[in-house]
Amino acid sequence: MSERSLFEDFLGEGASRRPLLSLYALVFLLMSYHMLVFTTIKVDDITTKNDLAQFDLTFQETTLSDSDEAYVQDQRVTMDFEIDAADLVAHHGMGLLQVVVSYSETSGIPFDGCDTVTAAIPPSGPAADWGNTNSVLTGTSDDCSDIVLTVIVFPAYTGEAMRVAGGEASDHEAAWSSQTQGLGTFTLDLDVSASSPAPPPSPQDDGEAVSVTWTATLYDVEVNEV
Amino acid sequence: MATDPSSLRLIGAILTILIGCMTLFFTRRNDNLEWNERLAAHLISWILIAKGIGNTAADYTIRYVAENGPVSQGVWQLGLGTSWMLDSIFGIGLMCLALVFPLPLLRTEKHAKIAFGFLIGFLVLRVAAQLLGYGVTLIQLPGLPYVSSGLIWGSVYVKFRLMDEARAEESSRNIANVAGMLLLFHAGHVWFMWPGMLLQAEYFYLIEMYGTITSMSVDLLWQSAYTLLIAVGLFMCGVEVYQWTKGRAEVLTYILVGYFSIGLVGYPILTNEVAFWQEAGNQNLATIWTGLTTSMHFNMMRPVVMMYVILRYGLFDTSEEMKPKAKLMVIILIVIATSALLELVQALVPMNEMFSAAALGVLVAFGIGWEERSFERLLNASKQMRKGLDARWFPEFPLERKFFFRFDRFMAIVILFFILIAFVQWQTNAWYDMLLLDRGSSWRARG
Repeated sequence: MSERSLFEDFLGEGASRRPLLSLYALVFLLMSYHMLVFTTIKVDDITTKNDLAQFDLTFQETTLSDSDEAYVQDQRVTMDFEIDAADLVAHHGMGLLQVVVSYSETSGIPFDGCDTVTAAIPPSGPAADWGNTNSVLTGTSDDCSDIVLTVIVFPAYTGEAMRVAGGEASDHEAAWSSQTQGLGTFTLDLDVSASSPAPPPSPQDDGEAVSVTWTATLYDVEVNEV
Repeated sequence: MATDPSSLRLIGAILTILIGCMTLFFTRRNDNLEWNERLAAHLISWILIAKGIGNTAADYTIRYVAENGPVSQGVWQLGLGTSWMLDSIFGIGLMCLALVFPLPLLRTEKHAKIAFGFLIGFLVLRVAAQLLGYGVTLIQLPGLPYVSSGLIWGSVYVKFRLMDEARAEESSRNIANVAGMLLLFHAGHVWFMWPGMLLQAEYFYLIEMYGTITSMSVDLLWQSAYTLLIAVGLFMCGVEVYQWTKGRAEVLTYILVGYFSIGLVGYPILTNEVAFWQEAGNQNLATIWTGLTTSMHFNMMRPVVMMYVILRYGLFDTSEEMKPKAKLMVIILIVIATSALLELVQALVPMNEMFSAAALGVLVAFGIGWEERSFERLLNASKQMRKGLDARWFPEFPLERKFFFRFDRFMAIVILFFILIAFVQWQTNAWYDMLLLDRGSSWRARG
């Protein structure tokens, strides 16, 4: 077993003593330099490197409307509304579809109250956020008030401005862009249950004139870093 | 043939595990090793096995997170936990290795007890900190294995590479080469970053160990360890260039000059865009570059460098009886390494399947041809590390064979135990909580 210590063997007199001390000097020098850069020169960059960028997202909306009218008797009537690629191409996407069903009592029979109108949009056809809790796919009216149905087409779209953190502006723009959501034909089923003030042979109400307004909300998202 | 970076990582991991298992197999039958060489061979085996398993788990985690995101209760936590726990074995195993190989620094039993006691305590501390949910903290001394490797192997390298005792020239050259190769194995990827450190580039100063979970002080410690390695590496590179001018170049000379030159070329590429090694693919120039350098080091150079050290310096039993088996194993490794090389090229430059199959055949044939000629040369090269050197450099420790069998059993149990801990961490959602993954999830959720 050796009498000399390891340090004496390494740093004792010899050809490699000076290079070894030079090695340690270089290590010390570069580590001091790194410490200086880390704690002083680049400290601002380092302390803020994990701060997530924040972005304000606002939606410029454009509407596309169409209307239909029909005289609905005691059978189902189906109406269509089509969104094609040309409608979407100028925008980032389609946010929602609103359908307003209006009617009034048109029989002219005295004491004849409003009929019962039921409207429903079947959750099929175009890609949309059919299960969204803000989507209203069916409605009924028996007092001549409007039935308003809403389909949230782009997932979670509300049209309201929002602030998000992280990523790049292009990430958010891409996340809110779609040329497929809403593309296709939406359908609306209408049912009227006509009621008359008295049984035959008194005059009978046999249906209702119903007007439908389709309004598609197309949007352009604007992303601004805060 | 797959073309994604994952395939490269997996091949690298398999290669690493295979070399670890082979080393264990051939070392247990080798009766010609000194105590420190035998201990080193066993340590290397388990370091490689642990790292290979860890890398497989890391690959799974990277793929899972890329597809599903770091979701709560996700199985990615098992992969990340396994990778983290086994990386502790890798780091602390290398610290043990530096203490005994190529030069045993422990000269008395007391030294050995203190050193290994500290290292086992360090391992327990890291595991305990993980189990208690501290994440990566200063108390775990992140970067310590790098500091240890850099200082010990760097000192051994300089001491013996510049030793002027003619009678010990062969031994001192071999010791210096082994120290240099082992440091290359551990820290080669850091040497690519040297211009970034000196020129204050973001790709060096803004790096983090594990995403955003580490504090600034942990980052400072980690980067300081990198800086130490860069200083040691630059010095070694200077020494090798000096030796080259004197006509004493070694394999290490060319590798070191190559690594530092690549680092210089990479500076303008990486300063424009930051890339991460796990993303190696063909997305942009910085990522391609990272694939060709850092990923290449992790997946190809590490196993190949270690295989070279093991073969060249006689840790394998290459007696006449075992030589055919050793040769067969080396051929298998070459086939895997060759396909890994092609996989890397595939990941970067997608090419026709037929062409890649033909290229694989040619490369394997070339690899086996190389093996035929080089195997004998490697085995017949000088393995001398003690001749001509004072006996005080090589203290004797009476370690019986029984100790090594127990050591192997212990390491196998530790690896299984660590995987079990990772399983528990997954079940308790520990990594998810530690990483505080609600950050930045608002926009990712949309994707």
